Amino acid sequence: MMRIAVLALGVLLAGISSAFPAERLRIATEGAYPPFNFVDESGVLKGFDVDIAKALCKQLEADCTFQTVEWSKIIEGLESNRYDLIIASMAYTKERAARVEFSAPYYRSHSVLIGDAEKFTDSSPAALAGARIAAADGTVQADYAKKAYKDSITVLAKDQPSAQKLLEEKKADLLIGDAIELLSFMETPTGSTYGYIGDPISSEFLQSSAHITAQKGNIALIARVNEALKQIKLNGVYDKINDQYFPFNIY
Amino acid sequence: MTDTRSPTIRGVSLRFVGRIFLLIAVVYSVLAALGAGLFLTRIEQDAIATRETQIPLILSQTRNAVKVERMSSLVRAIFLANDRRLERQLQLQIQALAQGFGFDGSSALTAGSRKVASLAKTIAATRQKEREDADIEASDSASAGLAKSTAGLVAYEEAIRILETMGKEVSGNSAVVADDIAGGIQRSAVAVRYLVIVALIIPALFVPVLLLLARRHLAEPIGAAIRNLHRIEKDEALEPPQSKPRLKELALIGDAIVSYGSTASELRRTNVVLQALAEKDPLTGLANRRMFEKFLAAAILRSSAEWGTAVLLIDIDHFKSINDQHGHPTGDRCLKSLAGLLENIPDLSNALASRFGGEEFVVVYDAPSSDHAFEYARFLCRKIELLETQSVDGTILRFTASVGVSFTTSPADNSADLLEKADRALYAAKRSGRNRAEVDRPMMGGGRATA
Repeated sequence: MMRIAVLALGVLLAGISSAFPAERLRIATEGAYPPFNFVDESGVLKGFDVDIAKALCKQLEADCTFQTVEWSKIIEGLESNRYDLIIASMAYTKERAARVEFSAPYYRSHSVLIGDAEKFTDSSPAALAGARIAAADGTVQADYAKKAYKDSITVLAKDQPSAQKLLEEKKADLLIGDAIELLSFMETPTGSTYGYIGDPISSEFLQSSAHITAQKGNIALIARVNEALKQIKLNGVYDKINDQYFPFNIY
Repeated sequence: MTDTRSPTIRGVSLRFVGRIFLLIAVVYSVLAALGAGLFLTRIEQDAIATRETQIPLILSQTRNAVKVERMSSLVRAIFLANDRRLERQLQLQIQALAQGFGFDGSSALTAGSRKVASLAKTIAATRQKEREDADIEASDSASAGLAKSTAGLVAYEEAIRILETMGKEVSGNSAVVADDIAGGIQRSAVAVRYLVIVALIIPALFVPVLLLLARRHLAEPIGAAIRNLHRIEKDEALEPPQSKPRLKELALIGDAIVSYGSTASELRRTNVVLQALAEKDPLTGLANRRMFEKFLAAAILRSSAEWGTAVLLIDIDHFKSINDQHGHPTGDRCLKSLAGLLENIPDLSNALASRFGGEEFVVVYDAPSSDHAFEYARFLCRKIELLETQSVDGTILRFTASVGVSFTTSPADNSADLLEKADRALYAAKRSGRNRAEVDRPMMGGGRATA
């Protein structure tokens, strides 16, 4: 009797698992934000965000597909259900929260200005009056530059690499961006002539946390992502990925 | 006698008391459950609060500790570095790391990290300047080396000192948070311990009280009631209740027993009177005729060849003239003295003397033979002859009596026949001159004999 019951249960479970194959998750990232997400010379999508996304997929036992989407259109794409999650170092803002569901933060950072550290020693708006500040369009830093440095000229680029190019080509004097991202840039040969300008910007506005986002209302998926995030933090997978990219823990 | 048939009993009923106890038990259980629930909820809330606030706090302290440690090693590295590019890279890393301290609140940490970042910048700048100076004064390398160690060392030592202070603050913060958590857990544990102790002690105290109450209000009244029942059985005076039982039912039972006891003793007294009335002759105290008839019937039934039943019918001679000469009271005295004689009949088995009516008495006993009965009758005649009775006026008078005897050995005989035979014998005795005994002797062939 017992054996038959166990057998029946087994058949039932087998039926259930075949009826519900591994979940498919479509993930979008920008692909133009080294070292968090970028496409290398051989065309492979890489970066901290991508590795975290893969670790989360493994934790969630989901089949994941990746696509790169232009930053300015990335939320739009989520809203029109072209993908399930955005994992692209997206900072939390109220405006974005009205359109998408935010997960718990998966790393935190701070915005800084870089440029010629000998020419510019003070990062106050008054000291930088008239200077040209490069920023990537649609980022929290671009918004901040426009708002806080009214006497400076904000030069917008379509993404972070383009903004860096503006600085290299002297089309801008300064570049505003994420401290960690810019640290990586300054460690490259092209970035080696620049330094952080002045004291770290202590405005709370520029303290940002990066989150994973899902379609508005998909709270169930966000809850599972949060749980998976906690798990990879606890089992050391997160720290391993962190150490591949950064000299200190950014969680 | 107290009237207990319409009692106005104050106090409470057993059922009511039972309900009260049940209510107390239920209310207590509910309160205990609520209390336990409340405490456990509080502990749960504490646990949630710990998880949601304290643990993130500890995590952030841990993060800060790691950052301070990391910063220390970067500062050490920059001090030991001897390459422009490496120094720059380390300096940038220190700066980026310093910015991270802004997240976790502590202004002392933020300020310290900024100071360290600027000291790192100083170290790097000093180094660069020294290298440039060294290029110019390539010849005097010894003095350049000395300058390098002093300027860099001051900044380095300052940075390390700040980092140590930061480290102490971080571990201090962690200790405070950990202490808070431990304190909270301990407080909850103590509260739960007291709750459990109190929850257990209250019923433990309640049980002896319950037992005392039960003894006082259940066992004692019941015991008193039982003792009273025993007393009623033994016809003793009832134990007065020390206090009225508080429980209605027990008070009712106690009252009913007291009332039953008084009824029973009254009945018993009435019975004694009634029995005496039924079985005794009021004047002489001898058994009356009714008692005699009962006794005779039983005696006949017992009869056998060995032991028959003898009836001695005794009649005082000339009793009417005693009454006429000395008055009825003296006549009564004669009856009483004869009764006194008959009452103390010796040596007869199963004898009963009774007053048959008027001046007639009858003695029944188990006799071995008709002859024995006849001899005894004659003995009685002589005893009666010698009997002295004091008359009312003080004179001594004597009287005689005649006795008729009948005897049977057959249990089938009836008492009327036996009595009639005795009566015939008595008549014969009277006719033959009185103060003598005659026996109704059944002769072979149905003949009769007189002595």
